Amino acid sequence: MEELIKRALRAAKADYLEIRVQEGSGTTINYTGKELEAISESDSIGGCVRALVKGGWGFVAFNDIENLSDHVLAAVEQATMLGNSTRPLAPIPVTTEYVKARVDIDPRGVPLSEKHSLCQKYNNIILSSKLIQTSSVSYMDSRGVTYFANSEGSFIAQETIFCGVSLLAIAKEGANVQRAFESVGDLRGYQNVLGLEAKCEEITHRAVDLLHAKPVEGGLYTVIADPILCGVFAHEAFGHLSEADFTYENKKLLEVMQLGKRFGRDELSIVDDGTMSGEAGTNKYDSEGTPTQKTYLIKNGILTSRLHSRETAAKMGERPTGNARALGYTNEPIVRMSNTFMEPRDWTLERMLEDTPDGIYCKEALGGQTNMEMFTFSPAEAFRIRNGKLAERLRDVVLTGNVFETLMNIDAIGNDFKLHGGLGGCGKAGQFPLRVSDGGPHIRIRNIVVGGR
Amino acid sequence: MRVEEKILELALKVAEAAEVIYEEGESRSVSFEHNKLKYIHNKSIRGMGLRIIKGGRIGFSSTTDLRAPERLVEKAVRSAQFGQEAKFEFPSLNTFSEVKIFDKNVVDFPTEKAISLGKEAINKALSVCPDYQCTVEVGKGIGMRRLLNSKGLDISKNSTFHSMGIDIVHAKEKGLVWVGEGENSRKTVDGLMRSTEKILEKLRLAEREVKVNSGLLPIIFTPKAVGLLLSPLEMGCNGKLVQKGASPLIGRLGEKIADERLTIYDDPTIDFAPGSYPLDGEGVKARCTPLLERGVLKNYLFDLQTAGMMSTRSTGNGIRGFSSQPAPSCSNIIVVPGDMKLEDMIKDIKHGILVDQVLGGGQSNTLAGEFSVNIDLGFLIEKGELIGRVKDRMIAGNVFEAFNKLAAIGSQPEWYGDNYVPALYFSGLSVVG
Repeated sequence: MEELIKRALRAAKADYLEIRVQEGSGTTINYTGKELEAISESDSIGGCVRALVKGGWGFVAFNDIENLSDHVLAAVEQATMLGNSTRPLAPIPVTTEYVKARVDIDPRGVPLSEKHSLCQKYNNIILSSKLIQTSSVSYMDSRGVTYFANSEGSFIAQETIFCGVSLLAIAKEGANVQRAFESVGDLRGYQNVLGLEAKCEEITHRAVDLLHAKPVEGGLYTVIADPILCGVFAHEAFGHLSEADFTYENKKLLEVMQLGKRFGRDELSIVDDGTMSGEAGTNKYDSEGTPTQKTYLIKNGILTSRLHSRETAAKMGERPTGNARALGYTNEPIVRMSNTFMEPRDWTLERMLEDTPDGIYCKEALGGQTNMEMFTFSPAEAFRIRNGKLAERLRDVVLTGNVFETLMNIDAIGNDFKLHGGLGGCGKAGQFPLRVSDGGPHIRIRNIVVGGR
Repeated sequence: MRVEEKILELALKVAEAAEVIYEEGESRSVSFEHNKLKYIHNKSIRGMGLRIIKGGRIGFSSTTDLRAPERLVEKAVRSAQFGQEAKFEFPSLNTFSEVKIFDKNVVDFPTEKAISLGKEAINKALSVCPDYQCTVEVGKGIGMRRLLNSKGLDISKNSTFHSMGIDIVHAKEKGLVWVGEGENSRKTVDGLMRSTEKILEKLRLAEREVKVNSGLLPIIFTPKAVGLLLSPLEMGCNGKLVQKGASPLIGRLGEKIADERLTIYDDPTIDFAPGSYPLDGEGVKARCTPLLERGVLKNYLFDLQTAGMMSTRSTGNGIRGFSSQPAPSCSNIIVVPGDMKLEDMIKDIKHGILVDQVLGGGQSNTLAGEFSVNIDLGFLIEKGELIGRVKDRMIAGNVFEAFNKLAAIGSQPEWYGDNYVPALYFSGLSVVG
């Protein structure tokens, strides 16, 4: 493969050329209710070429690796159609490396029958409750090697092994349908999906309890978010805005996003770190061959740096951060988060609760979205806080905030910490789901708008 | 012998029935970012899926690596050891609906023209305000799908798609506005300038930001925003969720569940519509299926296996790509228009909101019909006039209840994605902020 790729790189001239080839295989299993809806193992091979000529980019994706040299020519030809200026790329070291995946148990060594039995076991736990109408247990693993080479002389092969499972319980009484969901997924290995029996029980009870939970009343609330929801909050409320490809050509926005500007109180620090062992968003090198790193987006309340590709870094005179990530071989690298989290401080959850006479306690996450100005995020589970104590369970809680205001409203940051990956992921510019981990401590946010009837 | 035929032959040596799906596609897109021409993308992708029935059980595998066909068969066989009991037979009839999904003009559409259209749209936008940041994408593609099975079915179909979309971001001192519009079809589209003008009008309206108090307000959803309200119905009518007992619409066929002016179809047989197909992903002829007729629930949507389990027939909604097995899904969703123009709806409202884009759809309990979304782009209506942008507000409700509180249905449907829908006007929905 190395020889094929290196030869193809010489097929045409461009200001910059890169080739990625991805070989992989994977397993998916899905139980929905009593039925095994899907069980399959699949293979894939594909590649792409990206060429830069006078500031224009040509990108070609394909499955017929044997014609790699032709694709290099095509990418250069496409780029040439556009080029009439320059587009500098920030320098990175020339690297040759083979990065092997490190996992506790390699899922490839586990027989399909064993993976199937595991899903069946989880599924049976969920279905054993009378009020559970149906379930969904999805397992997936994938192993891939991505070969990267560029015209500057780098050649990097990175192996990635991802493994995860998601669990869903649906309870129903008449037209009242309630769901509870859990998911794990990251680069740790097969061990990660074992021993989730208690989680299955938990979502089963939660779905049933939700049948009799009260829909939240819309309004302004003080919200305590658990570490997982705090991660989604950090990701949506600020992470996306720190991706430089949104701001780097926008003068107006750059004024708003000037480094050194205050975005939160002194206690607030938000970090993106692509180097954390085993986490879902981890890679040693990004899809442009830049080493990943730990980047403070906000440090002590102040905007400190942003996430870059080689292109955005060059344009802004900053350094690449190893955040140019492509979902797969059919996509070009764009600026993405990796593992994003808020740093813990000194509040205990007990103290936070005692100090909150009235509010909502929100746990785990169903999802989040941002338009770079406002964002929404929703917990998997929510309870009313009354007189500093957890009270009744709530349902249908979706929170919203404003990117430019809500970070200032965080007034307590916990002393605990958790990062979470999962089978879902982040979506941007049609590239979904990209594996990421999000996390943080418990936090308290004032004046959050909660939708409701 | 082509590789898909070879795989079918290999599979039939070990299984009693088999089906091969082969897809290949070539697409090209031109994109502008931050007002500048940036990328030409070319994707030529192919792949194959094999579904077998062995010992009465279903097995499946897929690959994009066509160098080793035996591996595909081997993996499908391994999966069949555990697979679900097959409740269907592969169809033998080579029949399909005569719907048009291929347009040679798309194939011939020149890259240069895509570039000049993009430039024209961006120049138009920048002539209004030089601070606007435009992203434009013009894409076209041609695809081929061949489906063959052990019952003798063997159908190949070519299709095309063409799309043009533009997003404009306007950053201000405090915050920003982001508006997107686009068109896509299986024949050539030409609406980039129209989309641009629509956005410019909305950006003009958004210049002024206005406050609105919480409460129950009359709300209009534009055709672009109506998709949010259709997903609970799409899920509720999904045969798979019906078979699992999870749909809230189970046992309600023939019952009036919505306003009697509401009629909604699933229709894959509309010429050149984005979600159209002559036959579904397992060879069943495409047909139009009413979901709601005058507010009465008429049908659920099925693929072969789910229909088999429910002792009914497939509705031709077995939708898939080569890398997955068919599952019931919608094609094009058509909401039959009503009699009120959007302008007249606005005039009709003393104090309310026009909603055009939302944030956070799908984060609620969609299956139960719940929605709770941020009004990403919405305008306050005062005494029949749009007076400015509303932001930092949530709107929430239950779709199945809201469908019984319709004030009016728009008379001018538009295509957004696979939906052909008019504006919907509700007498009262909850707004919080």
